[in-house]
Amino acid sequence: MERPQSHLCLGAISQLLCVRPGFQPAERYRQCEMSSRNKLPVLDVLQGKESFRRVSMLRIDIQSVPPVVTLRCSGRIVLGVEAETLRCMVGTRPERCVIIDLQQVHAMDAAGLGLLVELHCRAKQRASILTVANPSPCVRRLMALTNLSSVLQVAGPSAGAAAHRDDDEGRRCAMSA
Amino acid sequence: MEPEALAAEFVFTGDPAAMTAVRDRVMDFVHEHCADEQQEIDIMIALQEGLANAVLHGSGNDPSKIIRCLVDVTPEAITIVIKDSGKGFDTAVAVDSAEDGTNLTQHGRGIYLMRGLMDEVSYRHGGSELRLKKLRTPQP
Repeated sequence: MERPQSHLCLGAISQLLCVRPGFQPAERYRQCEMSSRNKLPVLDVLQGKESFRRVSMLRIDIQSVPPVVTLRCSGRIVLGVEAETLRCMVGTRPERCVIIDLQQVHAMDAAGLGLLVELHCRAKQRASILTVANPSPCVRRLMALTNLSSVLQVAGPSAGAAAHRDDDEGRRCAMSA
Repeated sequence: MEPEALAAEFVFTGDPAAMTAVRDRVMDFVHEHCADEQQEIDIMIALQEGLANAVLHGSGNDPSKIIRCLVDVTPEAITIVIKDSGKGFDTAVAVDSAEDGTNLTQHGRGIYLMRGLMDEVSYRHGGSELRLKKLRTPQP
């Protein structure tokens, strides 16, 4: 069965900087361009290496099978537009069970971690469920560093798949993930 | 052959949007000097925290305030110094509230995170200058 899907992608933001006279930025500082077709920033190729920093700032793919919604995040969740976008996205979802999949999140800062805690606390207040699924090694390490692994509800790779099974068992599984 | 030392200074205003751009420019500068991607991610997150603190706390989100970010790359280490024009803060009071896992607020993880990710984190001038150091060859 075809799942309802949508996605939100934030492109690169560039801003003029003041740099010390004499400092010559190398030619590799190419601006990220927005592809008109898929709205994803074009990857900047740095001496043959693709920089992970040039991957889209934050992309959220949404898969909804009420009462469960999975928000698959890719890119980075840091202070600013990325964290705000995820906050708004979770806040406006009507589903009772929200799964935030962080498998493709390559960087997160204290604001991103704080946001997960905020969403977790808000979900508890509303008697809904918020699960962090598939944290990438980077996110897992940061959560361990800040001792958040024991605070947040963290699920493994199977949580998302189980949540979207059509049967009641799948939903129960998601609700208890 | 890589030069013995490289340095760059980035100057920006106390504006969150400018901070994001500076973070990316600094990372562009240090990118090729990192030992691996993990080291680069560590520096990026610590840098993000340092810059965010300078903008939010040191400058109060005031675009008229100036923040300076100096980056030094030597064969031994990558050092980033962030100077804001704020009054600083009592670094002794900046407790690691996340240490015991009971911090359920949105804030209070930045300094702790920087200390976990970098080899050296220190404050000078009453907290208005932050110094972050990452050894290029990780210590065993």
